[in-house]
Amino acid sequence: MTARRLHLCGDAGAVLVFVVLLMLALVGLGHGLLVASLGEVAASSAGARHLTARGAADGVVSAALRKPFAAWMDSVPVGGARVTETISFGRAAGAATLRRLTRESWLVEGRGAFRDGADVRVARLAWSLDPLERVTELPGVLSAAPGSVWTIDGVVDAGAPARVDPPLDAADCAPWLVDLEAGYATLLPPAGVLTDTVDAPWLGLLDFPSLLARAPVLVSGAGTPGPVEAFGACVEVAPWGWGDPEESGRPCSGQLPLRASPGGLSVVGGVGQGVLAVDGDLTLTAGARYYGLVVVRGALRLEDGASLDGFAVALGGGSVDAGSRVRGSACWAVRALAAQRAELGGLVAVPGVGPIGPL
Amino acid sequence: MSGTSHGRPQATHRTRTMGFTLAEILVALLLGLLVVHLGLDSLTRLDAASERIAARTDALVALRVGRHVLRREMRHGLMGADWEVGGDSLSIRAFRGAALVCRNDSTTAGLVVSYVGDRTPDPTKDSVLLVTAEGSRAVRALMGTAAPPVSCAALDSAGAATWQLDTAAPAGTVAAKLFEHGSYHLSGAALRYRRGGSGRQPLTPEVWSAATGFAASAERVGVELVPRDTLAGPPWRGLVSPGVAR
Repeated sequence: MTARRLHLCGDAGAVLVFVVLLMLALVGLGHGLLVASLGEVAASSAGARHLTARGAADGVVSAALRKPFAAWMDSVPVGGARVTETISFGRAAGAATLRRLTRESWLVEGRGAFRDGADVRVARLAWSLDPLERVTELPGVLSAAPGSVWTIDGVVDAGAPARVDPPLDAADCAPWLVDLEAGYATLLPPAGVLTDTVDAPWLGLLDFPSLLARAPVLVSGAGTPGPVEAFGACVEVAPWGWGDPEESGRPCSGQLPLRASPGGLSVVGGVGQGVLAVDGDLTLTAGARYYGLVVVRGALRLEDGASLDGFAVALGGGSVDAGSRVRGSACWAVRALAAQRAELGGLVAVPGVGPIGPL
Repeated sequence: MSGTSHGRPQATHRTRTMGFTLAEILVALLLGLLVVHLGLDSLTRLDAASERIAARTDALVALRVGRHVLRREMRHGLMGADWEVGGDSLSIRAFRGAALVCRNDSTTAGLVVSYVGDRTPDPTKDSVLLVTAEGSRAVRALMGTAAPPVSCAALDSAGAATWQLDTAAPAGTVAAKLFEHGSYHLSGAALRYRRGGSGRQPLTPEVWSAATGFAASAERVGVELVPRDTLAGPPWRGLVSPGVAR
């Protein structure tokens, strides 16, 4: 009897061992599941941290590219860098650094960092108009696209582009005078041909649609510009109020506006200064006087005693009739562009390049 | 009498003892069979669960690695210019680093650069995409690297070097992107990378069916990753690159 019960107990023991082994297997499976789950959670968390950091880096670069021109950008030397933007993106922080590569070329570096050290860097190449660079790169006082012709029966003075003539004085051109004198050490031709240009107005990455979009006031048709004053102040939004270059001390003498025309434009008499962009043909006639930089997609015609002090870019070429005059003044052109830094100097992502990386 | 009376209880006791033993055996057998049945069933389920977990884990790893690799590679280039999708493959300039140019010597075709990247440049397989300030691009072969004659630390944590190119870089070059030619393939149940003329190396577990592939349009590129094993979970469809040239 005792042996039989022991035998039965032996059977029960085998079952118990079997059950215990089964339980161990189940526990093992459970641990395996737990480890796999923890691994997935860890991988997903790492992915989320990385994506958050990258979002912060991308976001801060986009924010830097949307910002308007800042005056401190001119103080950054070529090769120098400065932090320009910081943002928070979830639990990540982003910081953008502007690194100046050339006078007009910038690298916008974005760095996104998560608390635990996840770190992502992205960079984009950007461009910002530099007045001095733009003007000194022009091949002549009058510049045209390849194949276009200038007919000059009047006077085009290209003898001393860096010279400061009245109504300007040296103080008006002081920030650029040294560079201009160095840049025009060699002779500048009256008329030059733009290289590698089909429809760009030689303002770097600013094409005509960009110029028109950035101009605060558009003009069209024909008109006579002149200073517009009210209550002792200059009315800067008047479409044909183009400043007062010949009367220093007047309210509009410091107004160098950007005016743009979506089509052909005729300026009949009057006086003005600044940057004039015309998406068509431009005619200065009846003694019209303009000081600054003229950018024309079509042809530029000066006739009937008209005058231009500054530089002109006309992709379609043009003519300077007898009795009309162009005086090549780099100071006027640079000064006019510099007055528009807020409108034209913002960073533009260089197209066709993509991100600079991996960094 | 006494023997009889003495023996009855003994007989009864024997009979009752024998009966309980039989019942115990039967119950034990039934319970044993039940336990064995449950045990085998559990083992079968355990085995299936293990397979499902392994398949799911492999599919997740393949999805994660494939998506990360493709997105990372494609985001550094431009559709049409740096990569293009055809059939089951993605031909790509696989960018491995970037550099800012400190000096461009057109006479010797040497570039002094400040370089940061995933690995060091290798003239045996690398080329260089040169970028000017206004966005013009040119490609040159990297012929060699050397220590720079002048200091060049334009980028943080970057190393300075002189890159010898096959022909001179264009004037106005401000940046350079180091790359190798390669192609990614969604074939053989995995994502595979092939550099130049070498073999296709799998980067992920081999878990996908033949229905897996790229889904490209003029504006975007996506992938459809269809697991071969239904235990591994549902297919994943998603965007890997907006594709629009920027």
